[in-house]
Amino acid sequence: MSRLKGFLWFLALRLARATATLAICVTIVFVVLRSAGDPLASLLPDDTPPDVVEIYRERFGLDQSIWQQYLGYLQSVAHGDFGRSFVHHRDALAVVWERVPATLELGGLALIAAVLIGVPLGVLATFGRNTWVDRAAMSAAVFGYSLPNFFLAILLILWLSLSLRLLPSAGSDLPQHLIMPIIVLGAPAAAKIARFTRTSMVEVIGQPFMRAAAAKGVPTRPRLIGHAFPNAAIPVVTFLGFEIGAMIGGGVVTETIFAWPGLGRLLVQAVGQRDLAVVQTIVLMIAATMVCANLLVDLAYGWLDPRVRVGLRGTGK
Amino acid sequence: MTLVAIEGLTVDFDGVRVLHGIDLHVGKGEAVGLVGESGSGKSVTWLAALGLLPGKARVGGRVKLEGADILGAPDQTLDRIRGGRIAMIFQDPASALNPVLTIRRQIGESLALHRGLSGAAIKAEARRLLDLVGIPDAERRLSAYPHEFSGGQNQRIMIAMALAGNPDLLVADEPTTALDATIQAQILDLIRDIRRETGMALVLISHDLGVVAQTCDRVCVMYAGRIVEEAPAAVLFDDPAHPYASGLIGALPAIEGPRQRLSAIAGTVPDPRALPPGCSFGPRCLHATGACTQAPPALTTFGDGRRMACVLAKYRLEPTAIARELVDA
Ligand SMILES: Nc1ncnc2c1ncn2[C@@H]1O[C@H](COP(=O)(O)OP(=O)(O)OP(=O)(O)O)[C@@H](O)[C@H]1O
Ligand SMILES: [Mg+2]
Repeated sequence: MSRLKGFLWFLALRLARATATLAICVTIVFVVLRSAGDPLASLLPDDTPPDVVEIYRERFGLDQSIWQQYLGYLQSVAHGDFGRSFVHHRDALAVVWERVPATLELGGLALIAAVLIGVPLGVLATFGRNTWVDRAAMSAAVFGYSLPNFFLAILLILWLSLSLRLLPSAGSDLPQHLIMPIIVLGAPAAAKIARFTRTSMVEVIGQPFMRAAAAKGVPTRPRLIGHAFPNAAIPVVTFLGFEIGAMIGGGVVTETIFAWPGLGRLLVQAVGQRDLAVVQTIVLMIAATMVCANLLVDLAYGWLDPRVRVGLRGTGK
Repeated sequence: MTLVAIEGLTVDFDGVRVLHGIDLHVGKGEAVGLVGESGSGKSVTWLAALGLLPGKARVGGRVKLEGADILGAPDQTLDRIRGGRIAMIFQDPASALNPVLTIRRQIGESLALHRGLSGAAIKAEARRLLDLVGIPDAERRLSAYPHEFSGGQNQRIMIAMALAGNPDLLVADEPTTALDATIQAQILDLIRDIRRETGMALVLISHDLGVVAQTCDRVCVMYAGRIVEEAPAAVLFDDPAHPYASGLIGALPAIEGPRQRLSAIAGTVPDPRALPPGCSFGPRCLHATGACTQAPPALTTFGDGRRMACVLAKYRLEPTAIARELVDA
């Protein structure tokens, strides 16, 4: 009973916070986009007669004051109407929604690859702490995340596509098209995860219970994997939540370079064309993703850390 | 029969010597107390003996378990000794247990490592051990985590974990310092009961002379990385010979009275990086003379099983010496 109550409270609090975050995002995007120039100027040819411009202005509702536009927008968003795309002449949500699977596929695979490579690398580094294994792993990590993603992308295209002719440079029809974007998006994430995992492990290894485990006769490997890692994994999970944001940011560049038909590429196009409704919808969707990621991290935290778990279920003794 | 013999054990951290050649033996089934102020090297002695110090520590000397050298032995050998032959429990039980593993997992691990148990046998034995150390409702509590227990209960769980390996020696490093007075007494009773049943040897590290007096057969007093006096518990408490030991015992309230940390000797323990010349206790000693600054006094052995490191030893061996010296002067 009290368990459920505690959990519901937690959920309600998080939902309230999520709604506030989303509202702030919508507002900022709205203000920035409206003050960045007249969308009609880029939509209509330069020699359009002024009265025609006015007709369009009225049709898109751009003749109203910014307050009216803002309130109107909030109202329609609340009803699930995200406006019409000026460019595609369709529902903005439909335009955006079509691109979601491609982005999920690329971002998801890149994140999974980054975790599968980064976490073991970070743990391995602590096995041979301060030896060549550690130094090699950590040097690779620094290299991985200090290389700008567009530069890595160009290097890969030059090498794998143009020189070796192993992979197609851009497109989305074949599974091979995914390989380079995954490397470009996943490598910096894997590097950061590896470093973070190592730091977290080293901190745990200094805790008194690790010495107590050694005093019990637990050999080194099970001590690091069975005793240190479950503790070290908790902050790593939080870190992964932030990495989802980095994936979205990195996705914009990566998708554009490799012509991957996801949200990132659509965002770049829509900003260029001042397609307000589409830009707003994408930003809202990204914000919602971040909020969900944070919520998931919190839930995962409770699942991984028995001390928090009790907190979550109230006084569940 | 000697179980563990420590000979000339030295430890250096970053070029600073903190243990200056410790000689200490523990017989089978014997209870040895190790007392001394904070920083005197009590914990480091046993951590070094079990190879549990961080890599930067330089350890010298010999540690023998039933005659076999264990200092610097391969990890495989040490992992069987730790927990299996010599178990250790620590001052703060809450931080010595892994916070994200269940009690069952943590006790079960010792049972698997040292007794080769698995599956249902682990569960049954873990339950028996929890019952033995006095955790009520053992069956259900096995699946709980350390933070769901009180400090005293956590120390009981640590003891259960230590017992899981059927060790020949339990090293208890200030097992009750972090607990309040009534719980302290319960934990010590538990340790005494278990020793009576299992015949396990005990090294009890403590600030608390009262605790040591009630529990131990023999007591070693440590000061600044050296053993300064060693004697059967009754002998030491009746008649401490070393000025530091008598200072400690003088500072002791009634044995049955409220316990307190040792604080009644004027001055503080010297920093190991800047030890005074000669006897490390010299600057705080009421009996210090010029001779005390020459060289650290060696341990002298007496007939009643006492050893002490002090220039006063010769007057104990030969009470007339003092008179002759006065006449000569
Ligand atoms: N990891 C370490 N690095 C450097 N110096 C250390 C380390 N561990 C212990 N020392 C030093 O070794 C000396 C002995 O410490 P030790 O912990 O054995 O004292 P103790 O007698 O157990 O004291 P306490 O009663 O406070 O537990 C102290 O001077 C301490 O500063
Ligand atoms: Mg200590």
